[in-house]
Amino acid sequence: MNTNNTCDVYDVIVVGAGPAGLSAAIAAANSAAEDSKSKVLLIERDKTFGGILNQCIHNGFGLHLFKKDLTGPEYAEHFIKELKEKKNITSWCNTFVLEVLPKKDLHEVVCVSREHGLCTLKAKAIVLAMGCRERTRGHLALPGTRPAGIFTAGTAQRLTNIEGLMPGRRVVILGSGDIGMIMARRLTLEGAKVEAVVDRLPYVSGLTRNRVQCVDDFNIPLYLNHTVTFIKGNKRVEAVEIADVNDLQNSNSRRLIECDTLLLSVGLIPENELTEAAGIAMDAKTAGALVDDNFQTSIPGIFACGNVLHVSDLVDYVSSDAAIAGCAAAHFAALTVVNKHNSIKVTTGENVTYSVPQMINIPATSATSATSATTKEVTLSYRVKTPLKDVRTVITNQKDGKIIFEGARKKIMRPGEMERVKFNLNKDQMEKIEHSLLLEVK
Amino acid sequence: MSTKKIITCISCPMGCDCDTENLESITCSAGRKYVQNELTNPQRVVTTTIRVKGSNGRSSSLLPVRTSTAIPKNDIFKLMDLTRKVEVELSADSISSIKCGDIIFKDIGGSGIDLIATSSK
Repeated sequence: MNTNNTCDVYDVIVVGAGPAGLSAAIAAANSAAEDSKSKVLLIERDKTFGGILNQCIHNGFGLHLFKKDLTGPEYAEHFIKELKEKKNITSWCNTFVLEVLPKKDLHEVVCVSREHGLCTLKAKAIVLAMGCRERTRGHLALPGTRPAGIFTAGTAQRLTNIEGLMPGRRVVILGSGDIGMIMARRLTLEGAKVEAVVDRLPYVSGLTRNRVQCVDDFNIPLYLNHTVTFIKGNKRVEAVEIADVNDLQNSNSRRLIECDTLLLSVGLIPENELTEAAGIAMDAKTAGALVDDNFQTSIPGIFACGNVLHVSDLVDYVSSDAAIAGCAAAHFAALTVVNKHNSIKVTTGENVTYSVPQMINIPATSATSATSATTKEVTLSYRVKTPLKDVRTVITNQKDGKIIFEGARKKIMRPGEMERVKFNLNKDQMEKIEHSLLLEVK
Repeated sequence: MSTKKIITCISCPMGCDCDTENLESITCSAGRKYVQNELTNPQRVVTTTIRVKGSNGRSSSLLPVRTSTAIPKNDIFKLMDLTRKVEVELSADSISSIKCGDIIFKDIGGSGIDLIATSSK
């Protein structure tokens, strides 16, 4: 194989320069190991940095992290500016990573680009930040013909906001995810008529604020408990049939909506082909890797963060989690001896779909424990299964059933809005937890 | 208009339900301000794109923009009509002639609304 640059060794290679990758690369470059700054390589397949943020021209980003209401490109700009100031980050656009090869000594990344050709690069640590992609019509097995005019909401967003093309004039949107609702507003502003937003669930699956400012503000009809049952059209979409999901057999519950475009906002899939090929242990619930509280996967030195790990609804959390991952990756790269630690599992109980991280590292209970920190701060991100009213988060030690953390009572928790808790584990608690914590909402 | 008692606040991603008849019950200042505005003069920040002349396939032929402040909801479509008619020109020589945060149009079409670039070109 004719490869070049094979001798390059980086401390950290970050795969993907969306919000997670940018934040991870900057954090890795900042966390100077002693006096030597770590050498970071950021690889992006697109021609620009920022990933999906570039097409998300709406505002609402950065409220947590910067206490400012920014648009997607503005939010990205903040990180891209910082990236360019860092001399110890090399960044490659237009480069596609083909393989991540875990090795005993130095991990390898195989990538290809016009500029650099096919290269095999070595890295002490790797951060996976490939993001996610959209579910398509194929995932839903929607009956009907196969005309032009069926797009995923994100594709429509790219066409409208970056390419300057209008996907259609009369639009039905299936799925009330955030991108779907945001496209309902965007296309309305650009002169299209959004005939309906349809969701099979009894509630919107995106953020409530998006329902208010994107759907309700423009009086767009919202059909909850409904789904698209048929797509009609020869060359172009002519109409879609929607029906009540609780009454699908009843022809009276069906109605035909004339339209020329159907947008699908029906969920996102973490893009984990590289992760799985590398043999990293996965979590079936998140469709991402299993990670510890440093965002390290089952393979030491390989980290994962952002939507490739679990699909988030707020970019602020992606950036702050990715910074932890980037920092941990740089520390791992600088290590000569691997610290011994025990890990405890986070088990999800009542009403909880999933929780990230799935493991928490605690210092090994050996002689060294006397010198280690006495408390440890832990952050868990999780989602509830259904909308719940007047509930609180409870974390218990599964061994003795003792409560470790009890959150404040919340009026409502929704599956569309990721919950986060931060709590401290003291030394005593850490010693008493043998295997796992139980996370419940009740 | 129906007499709505509950308004869902959109100031932050929490999306709290606010009782409009009891503003004192709203504990967050952004929320109270939002509800007060919503009852008297609902306003929104509008984001859209503007055509770019002379981008030469360098990148997108659109520039994302935002209004400098929230504008009355009723003016949103008027603003969209104005933004459709304008375009910005890039100077051929400089690589980055528009900076994120620049005011692209001041008082666009006499509407009193400023448009701000949200990306650099």
